[in-house]
Amino acid sequence: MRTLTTTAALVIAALAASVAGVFGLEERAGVRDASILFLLAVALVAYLRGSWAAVATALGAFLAYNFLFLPPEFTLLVSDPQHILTLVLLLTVGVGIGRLTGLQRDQAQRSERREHEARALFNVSRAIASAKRTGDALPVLVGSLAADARMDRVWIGLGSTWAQEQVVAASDAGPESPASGPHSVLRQDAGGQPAWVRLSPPGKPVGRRDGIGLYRIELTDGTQSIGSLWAARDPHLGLPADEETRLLAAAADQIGQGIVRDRLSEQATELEVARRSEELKTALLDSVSHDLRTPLATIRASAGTLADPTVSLAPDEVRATAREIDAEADRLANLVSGLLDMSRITGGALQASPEPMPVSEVVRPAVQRARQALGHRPMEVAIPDDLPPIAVDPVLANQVLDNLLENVVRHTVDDAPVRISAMADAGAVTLRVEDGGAGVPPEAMSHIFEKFYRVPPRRGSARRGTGLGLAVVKGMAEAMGGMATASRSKLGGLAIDVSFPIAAGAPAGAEAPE
Amino acid sequence: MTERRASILLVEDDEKTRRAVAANLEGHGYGVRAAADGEEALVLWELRRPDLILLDLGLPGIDGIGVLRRVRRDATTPVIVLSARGEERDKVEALDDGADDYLAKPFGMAELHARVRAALRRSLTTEVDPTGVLEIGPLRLDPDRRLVTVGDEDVHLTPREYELLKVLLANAGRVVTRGRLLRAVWGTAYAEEGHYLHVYIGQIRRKLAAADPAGALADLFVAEPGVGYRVRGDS
Repeated sequence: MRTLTTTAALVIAALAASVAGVFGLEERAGVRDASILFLLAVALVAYLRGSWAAVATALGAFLAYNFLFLPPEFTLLVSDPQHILTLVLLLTVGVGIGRLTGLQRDQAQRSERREHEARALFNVSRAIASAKRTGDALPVLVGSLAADARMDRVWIGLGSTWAQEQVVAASDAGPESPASGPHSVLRQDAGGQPAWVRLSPPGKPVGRRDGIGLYRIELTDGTQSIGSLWAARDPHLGLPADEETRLLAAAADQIGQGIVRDRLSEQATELEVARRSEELKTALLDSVSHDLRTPLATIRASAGTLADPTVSLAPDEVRATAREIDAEADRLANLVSGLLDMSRITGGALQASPEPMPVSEVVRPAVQRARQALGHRPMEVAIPDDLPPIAVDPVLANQVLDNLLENVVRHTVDDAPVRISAMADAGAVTLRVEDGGAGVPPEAMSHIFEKFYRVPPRRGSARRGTGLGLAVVKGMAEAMGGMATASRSKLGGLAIDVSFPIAAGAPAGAEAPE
Repeated sequence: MTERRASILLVEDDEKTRRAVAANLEGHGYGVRAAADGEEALVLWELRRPDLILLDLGLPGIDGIGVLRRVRRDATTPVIVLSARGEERDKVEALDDGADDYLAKPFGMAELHARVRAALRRSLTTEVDPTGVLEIGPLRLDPDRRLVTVGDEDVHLTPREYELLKVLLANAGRVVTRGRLLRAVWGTAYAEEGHYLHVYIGQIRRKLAAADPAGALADLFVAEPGVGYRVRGDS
């Protein structure tokens, strides 16, 4: 309505201005025929209001010129036949200009609307495509849909029926409004064209929604309803325009597909996780059963020999056999405690209770404990005195160091140099344990912290680890907020860096009360 | 061990472990009495008053801690606690309640003998020390003069450092829990502030090292992570 009134007002104003202009030119300036001025008004209206307003203006101009300026004035009669020609020209040219200019304008407007629609659709696709999950894109999407489709509010409810719908995204934080009241639903009409159908579902009408036009488009997974795209706006704006409807319908389509994709990929992820954990369990079982069986085989063979009355062994043979049993049992104990550590780490049962500790107090006990096992390996410990204390769990930190040194003992020859150093950087102290052993081939480097990974043995190296030591190091370091990395040592062998967080509020040499 | 056989009370509920350990200790010349549960252990304790007790913590009936408390009411007989993995808290509790040492299962026989020897030696020597001077290698702590020396050199310790060193030296060879150390040196209010210990031990270690160029005391303190500290016994 408002547009019609303003258009009429514009037409009248344009006509009035032309009348004034023609009057000025013909009566005052003595121009014989200034009717062409009306064409200007027609063109202007056509430009501003489109072709039908322009045609109306042309008709008005025809009447006004005839009535006001052509003798006999103030009648619609025309005495001079020449003037009839002028009038006809004015009318036809006016209508012509009006139609042409208006058509161009309508064209321009249509293409602008199309561009807007295309951009809005593009926004929808991009939002869905660029998000990892469609669900993540929805909050942004409903906001831009509300703006592009000229809605007060757009929201998305998911659920197989209205009653079960849960609002998952809404363009503003307004009251939740899953409508049970009257609203319009987008349906395809008989010709396959989308059309809004007003519905008054059973149930009590929602009073507070009376002043609002509610629109709903079903989201489907192709066959079944999975929820709705809702939109609300002032009912005085009328039904959504075609391009708004198209935009909402396209958005609903893409959102429906996206949500189905989300669900499929979630299922796939769950399956994948289950499959991989199953694989891991199998690998673990294989590895563990092999590692358990090897020492057990030795133990049973040795013990069986000792117990066998028909085998007579010399006393030193007896002792050697028993020592073998002892060593294998020790290996089993090691493996079991590694497994227990690992299961505490992966089960999340590992609780670190960090406290401030000087770095040297973490390193020294471990070096002390490992001294005998390290044998002749030249050992250098380079821990600067001015390092800040680190926040670590004493038991876990010692275990980390024990495992690192045990790793060195297990995998280096008896005279390989060993170096332990530490340096502080932003927020952390990095401890490095490195050796001059044979090292780890580059392709194995990225795997050495994996559970049950063992560096493929070289010729002549028979020593086998449990494949757990470094995995435990990494797990425990991470449980304390640190991390573990591996690199090639300048000494030639393997270097393991373990970082520990610096103790908060504890500058170097924190003092206890004296 | 030349004058008489030291007697050991072995309290262990697992029959096979008990038999094997008992046989081994007997083979090494100790007189061994074995008990399978807490009640039997206390009966044997009353009857025999052994020189040393090897005490498994997880016992049916009266548990290891109960046995330990009962024993500690009468005597300072060395007690070595045998604890399985997962019994860390019980282990610390036992040490707090006066156990001398602990050994984690599964343990090797060589380790067991070392602990038993050290504990017995301690119980035989600490009783005969009239002066109160504490000595380990070149380190000497004279409580009358509050003086600490390494060889001929004085070591200047702060009062807290001195107290800490004294407690550890007085318990040389025994594990002293963090709680006991903190209570003894800083008072009960600080019993949870375990990190003081790391700092102080570090400071004492540095001061001793400065007076000990030969490095004879380098391994004096042995950290028992999460449990406490011990000073290496004279060996």
